[in-house]
Amino acid sequence: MPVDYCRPCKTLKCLFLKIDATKEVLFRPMSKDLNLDNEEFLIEACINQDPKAQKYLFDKYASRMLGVCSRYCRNLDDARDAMQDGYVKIFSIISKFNRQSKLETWMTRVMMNTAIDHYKKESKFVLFESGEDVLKYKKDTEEDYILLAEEIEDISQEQMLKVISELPDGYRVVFNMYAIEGLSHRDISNHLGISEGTSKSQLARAKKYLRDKFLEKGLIGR
Amino acid sequence: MEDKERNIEDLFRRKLEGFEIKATEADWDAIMGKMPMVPAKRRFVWWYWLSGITGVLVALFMIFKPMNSFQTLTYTNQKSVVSEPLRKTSKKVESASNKHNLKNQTKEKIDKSGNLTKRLQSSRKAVSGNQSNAKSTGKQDNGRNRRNHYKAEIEKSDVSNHKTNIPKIVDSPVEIAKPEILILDISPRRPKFDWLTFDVMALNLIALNHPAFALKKEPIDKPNSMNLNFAVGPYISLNRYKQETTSKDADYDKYRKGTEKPAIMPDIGVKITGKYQNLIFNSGLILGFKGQQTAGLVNHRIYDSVPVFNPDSVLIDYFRFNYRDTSTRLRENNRYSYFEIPLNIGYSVRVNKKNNISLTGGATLSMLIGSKGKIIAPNAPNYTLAENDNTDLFFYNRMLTSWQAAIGHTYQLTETITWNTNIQYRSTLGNIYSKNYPVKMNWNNMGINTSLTFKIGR
Repeated sequence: MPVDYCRPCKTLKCLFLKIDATKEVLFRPMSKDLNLDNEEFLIEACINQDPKAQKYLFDKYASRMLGVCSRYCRNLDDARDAMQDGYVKIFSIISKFNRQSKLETWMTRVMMNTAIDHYKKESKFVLFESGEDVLKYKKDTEEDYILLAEEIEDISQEQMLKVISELPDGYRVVFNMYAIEGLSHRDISNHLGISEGTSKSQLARAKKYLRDKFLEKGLIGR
Repeated sequence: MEDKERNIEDLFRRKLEGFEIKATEADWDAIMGKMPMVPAKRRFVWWYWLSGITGVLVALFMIFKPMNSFQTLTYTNQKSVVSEPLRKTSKKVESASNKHNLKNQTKEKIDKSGNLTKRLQSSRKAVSGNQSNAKSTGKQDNGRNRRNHYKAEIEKSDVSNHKTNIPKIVDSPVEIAKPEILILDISPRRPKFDWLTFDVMALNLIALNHPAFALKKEPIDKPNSMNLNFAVGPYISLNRYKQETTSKDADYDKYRKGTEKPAIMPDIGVKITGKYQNLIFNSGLILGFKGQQTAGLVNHRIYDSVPVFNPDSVLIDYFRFNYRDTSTRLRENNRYSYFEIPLNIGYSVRVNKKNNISLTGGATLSMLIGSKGKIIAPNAPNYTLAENDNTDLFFYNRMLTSWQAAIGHTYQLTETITWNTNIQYRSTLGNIYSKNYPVKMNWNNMGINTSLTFKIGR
C-alpha cells in the first residue's frame, strides 16, 4: 500500500500536496512557492527558519498577539516588548509545536507565558498576595464581588481594556487567565506557582476592583 | 451565583478575545534584532564521512583501474592481430624453451618409478641435445635467451608471413570505451527528509570493462567487431534519515523502517561494444534488483551508450552522441501519473589531445508520458523540476559542458517553469563550487533546465 505521505508538511493527509511517499518525489515545492495560508506549510517553513514564512507569521498574528500581551502588561510599550520576545520564542521553539491545538492557540499561550515571565523579570514586587488574604476574602460578603452581565454589556471594548489595564498586576494576570483564556484555577495555580485559593482570591478581588472602577467611571449604575 | 459569574466571564471573553492592537514594522525589526544568531550545527555525521571516503576510494579506483584494464584490453586486441599467425611457430618455440622444465619432470618420474618410457627417453635426448648446444655456444639456457629467441621468432614470422603494418597503440577510437559514466551515486537528496544511497555499481562497471568478463571478444580494430561483457556486482543502498517526523502515523514509521536498513542487492550488467565501419558504439545496461522493502523490483540503468562517428578524424579527435538514461521509471503521485524518460543526447569534442581535455555538450530531454487527465488538487502550489543531477555526484573524466532541457506535458505539472542555470566547478574528489541562477519563466508547455558544468581532472 502506498503511503500518502507529504514530505513538506509531514502529514499523511495533506490536502495540498498528495505525494506518494513510497516513490521518489520528482516535483517538490520550493519554499518560495509554498502556500503559506496552509498552516502546515507555514509551520514547516518556520521550522526551517524561512524568513518569508516568519514574516508571514508575524503579519498574520502580530496584532492579535499584541492584544493578548496588552491584557497582561501595564502599558503598550511593555506589551510590545513582550510580544517581540514572544515571537522570538515562537520562532525558536516552533519545532516543538505538537499540532494538537491550533497554531494561534499555541501562540497565544506562548505569548501569555512570555508576558508573565516578562513581567516577573521586570517587577521587583511580589506579584501575588500571601495565602492569608484568602481567609480575609472569605470573611467578606460575596455580593461585593459580583458583577452583573447586564451592567457591563454596554461597556465598550476599549473602556473595558482600559479598566483591566489598571488592575493590580496579580489581579490582572489571574483575571486574564481565568476569565479570558479560560484556564481553571488549578491550571493557573500550576502555571504561576500559587495555591488555588490564592488564584480564587485574586480573581474575586479583580472582579471587585473592576466593579468599583466601573462604578467610579460611571460605566455602570449603583 | 455561579451561573451569573459564568455569564460575566463569557461576556469578558467574548468582548476581549479578538482584541487586536496593530503591530508595526518597527516591531518586526525589533524581533529580527532580537533573534539569536544561531551558528550552523556542525555535528559529526558519520555516514556523510563514510560516504565521502567510500566515494573517494571508489572514484580513485575507477579513475585509474578501468583505464589500465581497458588499456590491457586494447593491447590484447592489438596484439591479437599479430599473435594469430604466431601460433604455428610459437608451439615449436615453446617445445624448445620448456626443455628445462621437462627435464626436471622426467627426473622426478625416474626417481619414483625407475622406468623410462619411450616418450621420456626421447624428451631427455632432446633436452640433452639442447644442453649440449648451449654449452657449445658458451651461453646459459636462461630466461633471457628464451625471450630473445621468442621475440625474434615473432618479428620474423610477422614480417615474413603477413607483410602487415602493426596498428598503432595510440589515441585510438578504443579510448572512448573508457567508463566516462556515472560511477558512484551518493545521493543526499533531500535536506529535510534525507537519505543516502550508496549506489556502488563501480565493481560491476569494472567488471564490465574487463576482458575477463567478456562473453564475446573481438579485436576492436577489425572493420566490424563486437564485444560483449556480462558481470554481476553489488548494489549497496544505505538510507539514513536526518530528521525524525513529528507525525505519529504508523504508516510513516513503517515506511521509514522499511528503508533505513542498509541493503545489498545484486546488479546484473551487460555491456556491448561494437564497431561498424566508422561508427563505434558502446552501451551498457545494469539491472538492480529489489533490496529494500520499498524499493522497486528492478531498477535499470542504461549507461555509457556512446555512438562515436569519425573516430579517426584528424581535425576533431572524435565527435559523438551520447545517450544516457539513468532513471527511466514510472512515476506517480496522487495528482499525476506519468512516465519519465530523461535522455541525455550530447556530443563531445576533444580539444586538447595531450592533456586529455575535452568539451562535451548535450541535452537532457525529459518526456513525461501518460496522465490521469485530471488535477486532484488545483490549489496546490506550483511545482518546479527538482530532481536534477545537482545532488548527485557524477564523475566525468574530462572537462564537461552539458545542457539539459525538459519538454513534455509539463503544463500539467507546473504552471511556472523554472529555468535553472547551474554553474558548477567540480574537482575529481568532490563538488567545490556550485551556484544556481534560477530564472522564472511562464512557459505553458515546456521548460528548459540549463546547466553548465566544468570539470577539471582526468
